[in-house]
Amino acid sequence: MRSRQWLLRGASLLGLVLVWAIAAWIAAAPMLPAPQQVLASAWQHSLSGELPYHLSTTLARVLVSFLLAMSIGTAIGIAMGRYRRLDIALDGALVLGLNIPALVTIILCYIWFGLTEVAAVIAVSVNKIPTVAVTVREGARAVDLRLLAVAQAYRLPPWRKLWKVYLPQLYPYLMAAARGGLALIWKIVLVVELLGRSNGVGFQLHSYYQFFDITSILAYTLAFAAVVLLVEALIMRPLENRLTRWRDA
Amino acid sequence: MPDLEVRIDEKRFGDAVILRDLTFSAQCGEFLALVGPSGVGKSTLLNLIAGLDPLFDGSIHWHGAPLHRHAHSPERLGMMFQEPRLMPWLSALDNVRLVLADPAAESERARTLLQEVGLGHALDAWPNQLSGGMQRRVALARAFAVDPRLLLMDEPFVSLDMPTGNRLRESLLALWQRDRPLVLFVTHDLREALALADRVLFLSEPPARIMLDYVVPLERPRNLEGTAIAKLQERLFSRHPSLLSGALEAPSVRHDT
Repeated sequence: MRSRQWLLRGASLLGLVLVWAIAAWIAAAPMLPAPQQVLASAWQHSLSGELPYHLSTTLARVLVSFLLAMSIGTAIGIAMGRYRRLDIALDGALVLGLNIPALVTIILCYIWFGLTEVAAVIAVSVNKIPTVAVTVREGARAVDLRLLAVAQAYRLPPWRKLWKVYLPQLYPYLMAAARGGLALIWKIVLVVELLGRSNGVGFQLHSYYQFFDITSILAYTLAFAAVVLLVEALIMRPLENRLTRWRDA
Repeated sequence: MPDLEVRIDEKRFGDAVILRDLTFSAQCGEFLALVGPSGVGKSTLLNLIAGLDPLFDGSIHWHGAPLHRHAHSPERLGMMFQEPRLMPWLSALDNVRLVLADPAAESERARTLLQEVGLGHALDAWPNQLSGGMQRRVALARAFAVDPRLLLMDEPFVSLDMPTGNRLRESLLALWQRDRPLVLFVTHDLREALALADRVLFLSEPPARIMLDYVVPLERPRNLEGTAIAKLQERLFSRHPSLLSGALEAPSVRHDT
């Protein structure tokens, strides 16, 4: 069952590469290099140590912004889902936060905090916090009060109540927020790097763009995509399976 | 001084008055059954005593301390709700361990309790793998796990098959006789009430109050299906034909004004 799932996932990815190869073969233009050229380029960039350096810099920024956005967004979401007044008070700010273009917050952060690492991480987190908050708020509104009554009747200590009774009800929402969160953060981090950092994948893409080096651009994209797929396969999916295993038991 | 003193002047949901002038008291070690028409507010009453709902006029004292002031549940309260209310993401064993003071150290106790209710083979099962009756048994083990001094039970054995129900009633009585907690047992089944309780409190139609505080004149052990209980029930019904609908006298008998 599980191995067949993997087969299907692998086959679908291979299919994508195949479509790409055929398109490159038909186009036969330097604008669209073939998969093997891109792979070779990625290998070259890796050997020089440049690709791993920029990739890991980007990953570090993604990780920090992700953790920051998830924890702050979750706290806000729980509070808003729980307290009706706070919900009404913050709702306008939330709608605003959801709709302000990422570019605006990035530019403002760089202007206000300088072209620093802190500004970069803040810019990314601020973009992500509202979407996390909105998702988690839905979960907090749907919390089963009857189970909380059990926790109260048995006088569970606050931490146990949080970890064993409250948060498990939010896990599906937290997973959804994390998934959507990562996808958004990957994208915004690159823009942040392009605009105001001197390293990272976004910065590199910008340099290759100026040289019109499409093969290198695609090589970086490929490495990036590989990381995203690995994170999904090795962290997100196993985590989700673990947290929801009681459902399909 | 009684261990539990309940004086509810009024409890309402919106405009509907659910309970009014409902008072009773009980001693530790007593087994009280609450019987009344369905929807009359028996679960509401249990929630008030459990400290889950502080919004009412009146007072509830447990060992002389007011429970109604700070929405706190009494210490060592065992509670069985109308539904099992297990955490679906915890195994049967972890659901029982959840309420222990020290889950790591008392694991063995949780295991033993589940074995006592006949679930020794299902310790690691998720609640959704268990039948309704098995889930109730986990909830029963959970209620016993805290060494309750006060045990509130809201129709805990309803919709169980007869042998399972009987076995659970026996486990309940065994626990009660060993530790002598105060038990408040809500049921709509008069025979069950007569088989288990020292006193049966009959609730009136809404707004509910205690209309009859009946001391069960039977020795233990009693047999739920035996003739003594059937006869007692018959006697109660001949005296109060509308007892279970919440009236002491039959409507036709009432000749007021």
